[in-house]
Amino acid sequence: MNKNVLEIIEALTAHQDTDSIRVLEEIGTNSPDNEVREYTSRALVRKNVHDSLKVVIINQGKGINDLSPAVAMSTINEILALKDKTEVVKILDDTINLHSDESVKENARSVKSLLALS
Amino acid sequence: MAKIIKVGSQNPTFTSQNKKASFIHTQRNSNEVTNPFKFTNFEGNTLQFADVFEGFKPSFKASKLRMVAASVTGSMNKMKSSFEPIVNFVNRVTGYASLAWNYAKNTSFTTAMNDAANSIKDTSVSTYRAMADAAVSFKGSSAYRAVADTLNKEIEININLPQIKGLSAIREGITGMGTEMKSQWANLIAKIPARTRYTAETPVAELEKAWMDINALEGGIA
Repeated sequence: MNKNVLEIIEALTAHQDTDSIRVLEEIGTNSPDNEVREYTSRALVRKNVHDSLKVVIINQGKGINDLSPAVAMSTINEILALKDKTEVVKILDDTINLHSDESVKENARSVKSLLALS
Repeated sequence: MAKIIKVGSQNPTFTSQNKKASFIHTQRNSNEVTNPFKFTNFEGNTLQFADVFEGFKPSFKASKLRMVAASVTGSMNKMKSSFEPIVNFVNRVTGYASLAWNYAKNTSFTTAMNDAANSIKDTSVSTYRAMADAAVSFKGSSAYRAVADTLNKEIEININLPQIKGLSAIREGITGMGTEMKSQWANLIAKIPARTRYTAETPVAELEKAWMDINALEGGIA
């Protein structure tokens, strides 16, 4: 992976500007490179704010719903490693109850089960 | 006459390809291919028609061992003949290497350089001029010009003079050219800006632009 890209993703992870979430979502989660999507999903989880967690939980093909198992598992591991899981549990509940896509709901249920076990 | 032990009880089998044994006209030529008694076991003391085989020469019972030995000898002879060109080649190369070594041992450096210079002398004048023009085309370099001047001098100098000085000048010119190139390269490297570092203090817009530029450079694959 390009070192500059990695540096940019890390810079956006630590960035206080909320516009960084938009950049990560628009460029990172739509990258054709699995590794870039993986690093982007983990960066969004580490930011641990509502808007960033929402990107990786409710979107089909992104985050825990990524078509690449490596990306999905990496995102789930990052969620499980969070110290403060309050916001992520809230979003998972909303997804399970309100989301229109059954597969997204199923994935959210799985992640919530894992959170309960961890 | 072959020693017959006994006559076997088997009846000889005559195939359509085999001639029938003629009891009247005896085949006395032992070189004939057909053998009507091929399947007869001559183990007995008597042969029913032994008299017709008077003068029959015993066929050569080829010993397997002899056959193998003959084939091996033949193949060895063939191999020997194929080795001949290889041996000649090795001898030739050895001879040349020996000649080269003797030349190097017995020839003084001056003589060797003169020989080398004479070989250069045989190069056409137009080639020297082309080389000089190519050297001059590198603008602004004194070393290149020195090489060009040396080459031009080489053309003008009476080639009957010792060539060693001319070769030394060329060598110095080339060395100078290398030094010049090295310094120019270092100057070029110094002009390249240091790699940009991206931190959390870098504006988001700049990070976004940099990322998009990288994607564009790499064909969309970061």
